[in-house]
Amino acid sequence: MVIFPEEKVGIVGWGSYFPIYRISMGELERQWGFPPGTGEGLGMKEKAVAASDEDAVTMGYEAARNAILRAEIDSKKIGAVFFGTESKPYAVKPSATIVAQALGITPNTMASDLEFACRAASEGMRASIGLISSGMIEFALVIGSDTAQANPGDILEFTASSGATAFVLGPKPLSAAYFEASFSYITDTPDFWRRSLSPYPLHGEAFTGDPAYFDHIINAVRGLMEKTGLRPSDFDFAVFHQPNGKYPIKVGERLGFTKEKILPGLLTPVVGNTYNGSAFQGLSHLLDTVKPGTRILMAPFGSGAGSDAYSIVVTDKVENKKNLAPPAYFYVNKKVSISYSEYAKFRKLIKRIGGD
Amino acid sequence: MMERLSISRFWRIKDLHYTFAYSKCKKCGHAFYPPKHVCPKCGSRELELTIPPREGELLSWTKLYEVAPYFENEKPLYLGLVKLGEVKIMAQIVDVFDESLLKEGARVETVFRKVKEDGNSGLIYYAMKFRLTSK
Amino acid sequence: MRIFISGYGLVRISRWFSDSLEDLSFKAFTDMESRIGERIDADAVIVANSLGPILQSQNLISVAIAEDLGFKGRPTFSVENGGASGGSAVILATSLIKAGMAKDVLVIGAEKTSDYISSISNHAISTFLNSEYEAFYGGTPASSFAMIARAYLAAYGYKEEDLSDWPVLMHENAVDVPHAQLKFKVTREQVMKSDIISAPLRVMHSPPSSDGAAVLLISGEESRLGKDKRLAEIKSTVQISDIMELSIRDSLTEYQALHYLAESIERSTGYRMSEIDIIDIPDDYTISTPLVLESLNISAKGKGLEDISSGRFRLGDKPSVNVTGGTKARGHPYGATGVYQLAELSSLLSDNKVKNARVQADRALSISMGGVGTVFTGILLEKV
Repeated sequence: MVIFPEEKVGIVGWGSYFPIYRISMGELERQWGFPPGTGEGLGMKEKAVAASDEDAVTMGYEAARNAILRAEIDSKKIGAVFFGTESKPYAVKPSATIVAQALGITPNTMASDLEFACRAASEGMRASIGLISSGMIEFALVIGSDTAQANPGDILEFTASSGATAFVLGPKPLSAAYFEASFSYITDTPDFWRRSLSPYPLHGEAFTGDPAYFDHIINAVRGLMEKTGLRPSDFDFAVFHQPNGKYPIKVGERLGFTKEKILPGLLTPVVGNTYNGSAFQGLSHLLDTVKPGTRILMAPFGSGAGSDAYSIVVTDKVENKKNLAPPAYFYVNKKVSISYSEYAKFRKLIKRIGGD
Repeated sequence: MMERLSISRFWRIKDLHYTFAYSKCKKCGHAFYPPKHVCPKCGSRELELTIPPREGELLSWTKLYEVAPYFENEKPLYLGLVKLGEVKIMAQIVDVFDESLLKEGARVETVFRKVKEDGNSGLIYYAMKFRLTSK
Repeated sequence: MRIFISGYGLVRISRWFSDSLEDLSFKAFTDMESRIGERIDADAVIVANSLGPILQSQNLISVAIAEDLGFKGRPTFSVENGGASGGSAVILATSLIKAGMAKDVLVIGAEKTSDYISSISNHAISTFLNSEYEAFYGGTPASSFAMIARAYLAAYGYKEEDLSDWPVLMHENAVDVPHAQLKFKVTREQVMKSDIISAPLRVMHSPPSSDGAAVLLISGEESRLGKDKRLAEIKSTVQISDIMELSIRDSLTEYQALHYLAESIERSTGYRMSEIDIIDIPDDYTISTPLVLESLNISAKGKGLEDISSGRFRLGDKPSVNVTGGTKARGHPYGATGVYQLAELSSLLSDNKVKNARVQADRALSISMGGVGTVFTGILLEKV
């Protein structure tokens, strides 16, 4: 097999964060008059909700802190911070600088927020691979974090959730998993969007499926297969962007991946679609649990639209790093159920004087 | 409520708010937060900024209902005095869902959260808070 | 040089929606004039006020009030030391007289907290804490006193109910005080049923929202007024700052500055705390009471609440404490409170007009506190 530049680079540290609050599908169904079982139909059980003092920055910070703990490096060695989000607290003013400052990464670093719906952080991952393999920087911090918005009462509200996952990328010899190759597939496909001053995104319902999610992921993954000569049977696990509990399984079937290879990395049914952290949370959880030598396919997707496919091989360094920070499931299991009214308060859906 | 909070006042102490960096006296070893120019114990001016550990123990706490305007969305506020390594720090305690766990000696850890937002258009102020450690 | 209080005036503490700081000050001033029976002049005007720059958006408050009262071309001083502003203002007045800069100094304590809704008042009093740290996190004096209370109750094995006897006593003491804000009795049960402000502290531990003004005329031996006007002699004054932040203090359960304050008064006058008839103390949120009594060595360590429950400190006991109802029932117009305290004590040592019950006393000590044990003043008065 050809050696790609990706192979000089790997995941040195990983970490996730989900807020403790959960809202059940039944609560959403009752609130907005959906038939019972609507959430279940999407493969969903419950979704994570950020508290009112949490946002993409604070969640991204905690995921990144966990990733840096596992990386076991001085955070000053990080030369780039890419913050992928579509729920930036500031429209203008980077989130990346706040996280970089709080984690002691500043001032000698690149830092920026990336926007490409749910795929921005993945763009940061590919860019970081290039920066590291070229020797421009040694380590990069890639964060996918969102307090995903959904118009109250929209079907999207059943899945749009809050959470973050971060990776420290660095030289392969230090890595818990390294990249074999990656491939991107991008077109102009308006399946889901939010205009600049609009509080919630709109989407094309079924249009988000075939022409968007499925077409782009399938083309990215096929591109990766052609480039590397790998086949679905070469992978132990596959993690796709997980906007709900159903799509990842369907896209996997179409590509020739069995359910068994997809379900272990599927967290959306229990935490929801964390947008930029969505595919990342699956990879993060697999790194918490799998053995060295495991080969993982990861394919994030972002509306608008695009997908990246990565082939990732787990090394023996993964074992010692697992216990250096809480695993993703620590946060999945630490939960408190809330009502729709608490959810509305936390997500500032209640209009009140002085509440701005 | 838009108060137009100061930019520079909070910007210049961001490392305190972001990391709980405290003063440690090079002469007598006294550790204290927030940092000052002079050691309150021995009067020495030779102090160094030190970052505390992430975990500590709760010394005292309260649940405040009567809050100032910025905190009306967050009330009641849990506030705690915490021993973090060698230094004592007071801050909010968040994600309290079982109040019976809040007691003297309880293990707590730092979290990074929003403290204030200057209305919808002004700045957002982030800082460290505490939450109960769960294993 | 001997320094005297030769006049006092006050308005009832209340929510005076119709009156400004100037209106209240003028009423207190003319009240003093009518008590003395003549028009009063002074060489300097000192205004004790804490929240005016925030709640009335007014700086140069001493000039604004002096002008309104008709004092022109005098030295004026605004003194801000939180709840200790009044004590500090009187100490400054005695210093001016001792320095030969004045024969008579008018001290005005004035405060209005009712001009805004409670959340804004909460913001205003949160400035008694470190504003970039404790108040930044949403802390207020109530939350700091609550953390002290929790630590104190735990350290000495008390229950929350043990805090209830003090508010009951304070309300009882205020019933016959014409200028007190809350002149009604309460029961332990009412205290325990009142809303929680900051656990474990309740509404009935906290001071009411108070507007008020009180004035004092502080005079040296060369005063314009006759010797017969002297109400009390200022025998000793002391002001001590302590650490602002709870987190930097060695102990939550004592006010260390008060050890020095008591020592200083004992040293300068020869009187021990046990020889003082009446003491007026900052009893903010109830929990301050045992801390003050213990730090002054009036109660043994950890015994403050027990002493209150056993019936000590009532009128007639030595010392009697807060015979006009304390911050809880008399009211607590922060910057003015220290002036009220001294007006009340000088009256109790002379004309006895601030309380209907007869009070026998030769020596009285006023202690004021700014912040949460952050700064204290102590002023010892003696009958003339």
